[in-house]
Amino acid sequence: MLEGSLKDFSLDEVLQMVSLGEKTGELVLEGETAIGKKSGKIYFENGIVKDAETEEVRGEVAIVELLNIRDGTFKFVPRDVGDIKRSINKSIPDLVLLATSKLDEWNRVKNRVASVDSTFKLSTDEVPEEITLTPLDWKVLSLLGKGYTVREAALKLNMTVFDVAKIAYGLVALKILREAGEKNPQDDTIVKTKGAPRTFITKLIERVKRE
Amino acid sequence: MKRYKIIISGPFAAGKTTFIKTISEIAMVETDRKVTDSEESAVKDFTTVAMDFGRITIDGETVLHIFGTPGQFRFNYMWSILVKDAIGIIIIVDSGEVETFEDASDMLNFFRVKTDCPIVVALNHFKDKEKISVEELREDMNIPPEIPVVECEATDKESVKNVLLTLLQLILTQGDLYD
Repeated sequence: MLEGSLKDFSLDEVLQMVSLGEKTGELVLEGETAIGKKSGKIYFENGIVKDAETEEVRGEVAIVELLNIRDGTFKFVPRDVGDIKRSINKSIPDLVLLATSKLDEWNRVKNRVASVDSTFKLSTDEVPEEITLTPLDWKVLSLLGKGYTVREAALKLNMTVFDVAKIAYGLVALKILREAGEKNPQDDTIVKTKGAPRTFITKLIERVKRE
Repeated sequence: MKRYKIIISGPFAAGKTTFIKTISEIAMVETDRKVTDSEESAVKDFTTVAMDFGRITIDGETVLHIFGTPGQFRFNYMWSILVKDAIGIIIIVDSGEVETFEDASDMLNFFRVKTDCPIVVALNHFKDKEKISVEELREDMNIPPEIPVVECEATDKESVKNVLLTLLQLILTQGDLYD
């Protein structure tokens, strides 16, 4: 097992180690990104990325968010990943490039979309006479117009928050949307279960079987 | 007396209240009110507005509480309240109501984001309704492979027990347990 802090090894270095070593297993990542705390796993097969997941999303959407973790920890656990379905077909350099470009876009849209927890209101007063929206723009507009945050809309549409924020940026620039506030990020805190005694669960299983 | 709880959730009229009635050892505490929404009233007359409550006693010291959430998204503040300290979640989906799958998917995402406790999806087959398969539901709702999908009939005790046992086995392997 390979474990450490991203202060000692950059994520690029960790990815290179796993890739060049042609390792198979899961890379567990946890730490801060530009859009808040993230944790998740990247699955490797012979050093090639096979799949990724966060608490919320899977696949390329997940890996883009995970590769933006800067301050945090990593742990590589060797294991068979035959049970994991391949969802990613890009090389590590391509994925790193993709994640970096999404972060660049995020840094550009931040002046109009302050946070991934921003909420919006429809604002049709100053809309230009004729505008063209793609089907994806419409989907994002429909959700943000209903009060979804960038983060919530991304989850519903299985998109990265960066891509939703970029569309939101365009819609704000077109004056179709205006930022209305921010939902308390604490609302999205994961509720950690207190857990239960193992004996309770085994007794409960026996009790239900007897029922 | 130590109390642990599981949550039964799912879209409007998916069979949550029936599921709890089938497995609870006590007459269930219900908080149903007459449906006021015209579209919803075409489906059923009464709906859960706060929670349903059932119970399974293990011994003199421990008990399992079963809470059913309201199905409509407008009551989602109750989902957050009820899920606190839950040890597992069952999301019930009516196999004949394809148009509710999106709501079920939203609920699944809500609980996956809000909690770290194990989740099972129960595909409830109502009699005389068109049925879809577990695989079709998995694809429609984009359910990840680590979340089990189990077929059930909410009125049938053995079937409901099977769903509950699937969740309990999942808690044994994935849950936050201590000795």
